[in-house]
Amino acid sequence: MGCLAIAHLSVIETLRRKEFYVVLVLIVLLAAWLQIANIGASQAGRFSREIVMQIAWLASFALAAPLAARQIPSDVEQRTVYVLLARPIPRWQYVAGRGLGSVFAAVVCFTGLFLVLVGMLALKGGAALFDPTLWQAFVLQVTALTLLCSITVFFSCACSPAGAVTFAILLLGVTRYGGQSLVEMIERLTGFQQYLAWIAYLALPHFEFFDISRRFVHDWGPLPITTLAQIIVYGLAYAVAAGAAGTVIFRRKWL
Amino acid sequence: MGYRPLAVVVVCSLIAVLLAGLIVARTGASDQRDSDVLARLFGGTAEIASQSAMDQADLYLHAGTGHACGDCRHAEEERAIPLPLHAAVDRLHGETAPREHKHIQGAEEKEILPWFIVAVRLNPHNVEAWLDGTYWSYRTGETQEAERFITEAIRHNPEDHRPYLERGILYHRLKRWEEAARDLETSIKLYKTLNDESPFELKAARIYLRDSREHLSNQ
Repeated sequence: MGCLAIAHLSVIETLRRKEFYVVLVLIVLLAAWLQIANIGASQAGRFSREIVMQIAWLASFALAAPLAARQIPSDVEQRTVYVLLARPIPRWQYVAGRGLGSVFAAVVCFTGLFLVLVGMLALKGGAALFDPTLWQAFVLQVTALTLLCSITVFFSCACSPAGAVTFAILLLGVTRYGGQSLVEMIERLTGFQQYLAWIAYLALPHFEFFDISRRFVHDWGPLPITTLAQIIVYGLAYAVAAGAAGTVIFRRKWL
Repeated sequence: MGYRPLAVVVVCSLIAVLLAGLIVARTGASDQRDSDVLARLFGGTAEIASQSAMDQADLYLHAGTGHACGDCRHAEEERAIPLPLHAAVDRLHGETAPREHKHIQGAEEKEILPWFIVAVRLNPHNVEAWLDGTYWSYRTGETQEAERFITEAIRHNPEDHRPYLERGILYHRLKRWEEAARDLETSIKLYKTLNDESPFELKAARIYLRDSREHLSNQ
């Protein structure tokens, strides 16, 4: 219960800030422009679908990482953490609460951006709204945001908020956009070097598994349910592990 | 507080883009006077971005999977390295981002057109993008769009023989013989004065021109 109360606090704090609304307005304007400009042929929907989807997905990451990074350090800076911990709350509940809060807040922001995409698809005829791939993509992005928030909270326990954002965004960028290239690079190595690089690769958070935008945009159909479940379990397990590691560092560093 | 690194990245990128634009404008590497707002925004990187938009069109043509690879089967066999969890990771990559070769067909081909528009807005001197855009517009039944597109290509590249040839062929297909003959003649005239490296294009222009003249004389 304690961690949920703290999480609730984080969501309210986030919604009081203005950055989400600015991003939301920008994405609404982009979607409206794509709708009005009607670039290319009237039936071409993949282009605008992909642009709005990618921007919404990237904006949700860009909102989530700083949001998660400032949770604990700002509490320490403003000494709120001592007030919160003066109550009989276990330390792990405090970290979990702040982590969950950033996840909830990131998901609320992402849902707002996702609704813009849904609105645009509805205006384009609405057939894509019944494609299960869209909803799978939503669920996977929520899992990816959970993972990103958890990793950022972990880094924020170990370094400054700016450093936490940088490390988290770097990991996100490298794995999401270079995941397959990393595998190809490792495949070209030989012997012990290859095993070492492979173990390091496996230890990374694989954000590329959560990106099924290509399946949705190019009508490849939904992922098999077992694969979807595997990816979600992987993301949540990694998020819990990163959160637990963050708790250990937090207890040693500040208390 | 947490936004500082992102702000630095955004500001550095903007400075880089602006500097690239200034350098290109000063060296005269690209004529910016008739450029779209997108081209001005991207500056010197616009040519790369334009080519990238062309690549996206190709990607869309292959339903997001890119070109087929002749040695794919061989590559997949080679990929079967005895590393722990390698097969599982490879399967997840393949399922989240499909790799099978596929071509979009019929009305779906219209999906690639927006990328040609983006490509030419980024770099109005990317003649290949104008030509491909015209061909695909015509192929998907958007003949008016094809004509408008290639006419704009001529406005941006009046010294290049290829847009005239493409518009001549388009008019020939639309049985507008007089306009076809006029454009094909201009194309041949420009071709002779500019370079001598495309005999196929010259032959094509002459064949279409002869045919257009025959139709005109029969009318």
